[in-house]
Amino acid sequence: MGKKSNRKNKPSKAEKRRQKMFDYSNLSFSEKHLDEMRDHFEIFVSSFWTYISNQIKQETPEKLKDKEKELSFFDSIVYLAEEAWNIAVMYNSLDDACDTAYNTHDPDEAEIIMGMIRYKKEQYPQDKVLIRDTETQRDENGELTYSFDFDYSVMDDGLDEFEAEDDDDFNLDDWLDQKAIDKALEGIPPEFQKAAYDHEVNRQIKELREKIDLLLQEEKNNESSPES
Amino acid sequence: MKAMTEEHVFQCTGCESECDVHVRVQDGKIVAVEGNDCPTGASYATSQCKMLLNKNDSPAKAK
Ligand code: SF4
Repeated sequence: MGKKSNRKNKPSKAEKRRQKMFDYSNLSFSEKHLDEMRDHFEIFVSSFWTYISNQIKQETPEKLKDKEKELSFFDSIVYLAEEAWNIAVMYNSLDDACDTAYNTHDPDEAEIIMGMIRYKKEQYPQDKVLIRDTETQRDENGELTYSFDFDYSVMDDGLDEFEAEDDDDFNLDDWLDQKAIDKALEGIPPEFQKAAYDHEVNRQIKELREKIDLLLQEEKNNESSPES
Repeated sequence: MKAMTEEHVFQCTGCESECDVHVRVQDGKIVAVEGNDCPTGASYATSQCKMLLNKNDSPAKAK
């Protein structure tokens, strides 16, 4: 039995991989981390709001009073904040982020977004979860409010980093169901292939995480039950 | 329990405008950044405030 307890101290390769996979997914999805990110996005929006308001105040002060009350104006601020946040999450390189911002927005908007992307990268580089479903509304007191959700996607570059830092021969592809991926991509137009791929991979990662959770729970239960 | 809110003001040195950027802190956590005329100011004030909060947190400071 002594031999067995020694082995317990040295996890097998499979156990190490499984733990790494768990650590990675846990890191991406832990509640504490999501709470922090929620706070960070709210700060991000508040600073963005004052930045744009101040700009309008300087250019056309008389316009600000009306604008500040407009739901559509508030909506566009929150939308641009979401855009900037997500581009910053999606691209590690500032050049790539810049290309995307300028390819998908007009130059004025892209410049605004770029400023916010820099801010996000400087202050919250560890927040690697996308924002989605931002919704703005006027509450019963007439105040403008917004809500949002997280998109639990693990970005491609995140996966690359994960694979690169692994000193074992871990390969995420070994864990993914390639047939299901091929099926998910069937008939999808080329411009949507990447999104469909990401979606399917993320779905499979979520599934894997659930299995890992279960395995770890079983392991814990086995460990806590007396051996003799 | 009532949340402890404080406000710190940092003068941004990013350009000659020298904006006063207000950072609202609730229970030791930054909750809002206001007064910046551009994102540089928000980033500057956020990092200054983080530094201040870390300093206040450090055991060396504790009496
Ligand atoms: S917030 Fe922007 S505009 Fe204001 S001083 Fe800083 S860099 Fe200049």
